[in-house]
Amino acid sequence: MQEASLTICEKFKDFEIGTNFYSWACQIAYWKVRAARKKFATSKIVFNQEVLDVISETRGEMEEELDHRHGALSRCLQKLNDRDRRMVLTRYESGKNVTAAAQACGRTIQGAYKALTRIRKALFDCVSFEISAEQAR
Amino acid sequence: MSLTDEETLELHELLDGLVENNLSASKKAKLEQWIADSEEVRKTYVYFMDMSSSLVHYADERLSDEIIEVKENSSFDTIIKFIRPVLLIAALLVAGFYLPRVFVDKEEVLEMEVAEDSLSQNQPVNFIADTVAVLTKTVGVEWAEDSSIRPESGNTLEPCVLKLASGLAQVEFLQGSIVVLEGPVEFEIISPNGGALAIGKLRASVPEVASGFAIEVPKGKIIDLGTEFGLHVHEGGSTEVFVYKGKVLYEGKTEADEDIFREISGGESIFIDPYGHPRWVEMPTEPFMGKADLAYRSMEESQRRHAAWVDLSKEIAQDPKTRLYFSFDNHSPWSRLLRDESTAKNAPTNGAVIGCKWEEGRWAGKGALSFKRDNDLVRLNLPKHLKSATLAAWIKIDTLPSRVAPVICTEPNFPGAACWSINPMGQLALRVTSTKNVEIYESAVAFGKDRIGHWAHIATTYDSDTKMIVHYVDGRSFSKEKLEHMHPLNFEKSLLGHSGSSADPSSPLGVSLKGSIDEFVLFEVAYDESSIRRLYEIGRPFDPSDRLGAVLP
Repeated sequence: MQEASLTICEKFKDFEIGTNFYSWACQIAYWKVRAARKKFATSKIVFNQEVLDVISETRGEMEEELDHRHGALSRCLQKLNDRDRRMVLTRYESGKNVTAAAQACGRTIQGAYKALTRIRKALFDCVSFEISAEQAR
Repeated sequence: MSLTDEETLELHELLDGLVENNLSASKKAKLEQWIADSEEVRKTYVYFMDMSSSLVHYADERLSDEIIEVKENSSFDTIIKFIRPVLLIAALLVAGFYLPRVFVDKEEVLEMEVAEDSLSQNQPVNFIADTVAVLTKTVGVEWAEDSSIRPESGNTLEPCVLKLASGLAQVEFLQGSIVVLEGPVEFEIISPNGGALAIGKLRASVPEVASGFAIEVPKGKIIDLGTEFGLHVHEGGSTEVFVYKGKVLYEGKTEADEDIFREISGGESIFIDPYGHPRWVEMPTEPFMGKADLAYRSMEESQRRHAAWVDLSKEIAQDPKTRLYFSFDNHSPWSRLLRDESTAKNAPTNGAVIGCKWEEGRWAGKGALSFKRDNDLVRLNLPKHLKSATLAAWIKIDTLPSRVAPVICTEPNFPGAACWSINPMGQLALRVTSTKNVEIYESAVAFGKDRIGHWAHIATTYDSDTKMIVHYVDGRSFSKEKLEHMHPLNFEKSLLGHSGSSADPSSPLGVSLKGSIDEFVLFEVAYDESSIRRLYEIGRPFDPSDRLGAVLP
């Protein structure tokens, strides 16, 4: 992801004004990932190219909706209690992992795994609910 | 057709596993197939991974709020604004093969080259070395001389080889399996759900959730089907497997390349010779240490250490140089009086407990005082001023303070008034009021997030003879500084766990400790480093985590 953004910055001078920047940048990200995939085809968790292609296609059709979900997530994070919010944000903080989240919140590692599963599900459901409520208005 | 509730739960479980890098090959294959077959699953996958990307964004945003660093670069900002959705796409695609690694741990990165294609320029990309297990207990461990790592209890472990010359070590894999290694042993930790035993003994306890846990042995591997089993690899490569309960599968090859499969049930044992031929045997040649045995030995060790501390505690109480000693031991849960145990002087200086609650200290059954609310404190009165002093305490802080975490402070600000605390930077500090101003002596940074919630020993010596002040954390010197002006320290009308009252919000006064204290001693001499080290070594609880390495100055 970092490499894709770096390449986009490096190649920005090649971008033709007037053409679609979004499509151009997506192409770069897509090919970067394809290239990396070749290298890591033997790693433990690898989806095959066909699956990556259909995910990419589906993702492309959901752009606007995902922007809404990004905003809704911010509101849902505020609805979490302090401990859960600290747990999930510590987990996703740069350089942090489940162990760090467990330590920050005084939980065991196993407890942190369970809590994160619960929190992610709660956030997922909350975001879906927020979006439905938005659409109903 | 929409997903049933059960399917939705299962899908979330798979996605969680993907994000946390805990997905077995079979589950990954199932998820992949499901994504390919069902648009709803595909969409859920996209929502879930997009949410993970957004959480990274919000977590970084929270960090940015804490460390304000705004760089004005309009053209770059413009590009970034355009790129954000693209990054999410990249994250999503990346999720298909290395997102779990990205989200697991970014602390340690391994640079690996990415294959070239028409767009790339063969730049290095950062990949992550994962934490896969935790060393949760050790008893009498001696590491082998050629052991490349020597972790301590509480350390997290990435894939590595553990070589014990003797002793017992309990490793908890992140997927839930627990392995007790019995030295001499050489064991490689490979993944969150597997390892390899080169030589020595282990006993594994595998919960249902970690089913599929596998241990490689010289001629094959043991695949757990949800059980408890013992393994012994002898010199020369022969292996014994004993199943206590449940079932395991042995998959191996003989030297003649013949495939061997044996399903071994509870109470059964097999011996695999160095050539890979298995045969059923009655019982293992030696018993295997289990986690219950280890817990028992840990308890014995803990009791032994506690007994050693009780002896030290008596010695401190009887030391003629002890001015004040709170062991926090043997108090009733409703006691509002904190007993001064020092016996060398005529009248003890008992403390008045206000607000604080009693809780368990660093030994099972030992007391400690918990300071949680703003006015939790212990009020003291120490009339004698001290030309030299040693302050030492076992404390546990709940959060790094926004102002200070006071351990002991004198309330009125007159010459010699002292305040011993931990500041927001995580430095141990002694503030002394002189006739002209306030002098603050601070250590190097000693308290980071990794020390929060754990018992730590702190000490400071104030020496009027050498005119030096030294701060110690966990028995090690964290700073040594020349005293600017000499004032006898004054702890008259002092407070434990509170800095005293102040209406001024910028003043360090009016702040309480958020944490616990379970031992405090004030000597009227400045003891040397070996004495402080002894207080820590004998007083430390059985199972301290190794947090010192990362924060040594």
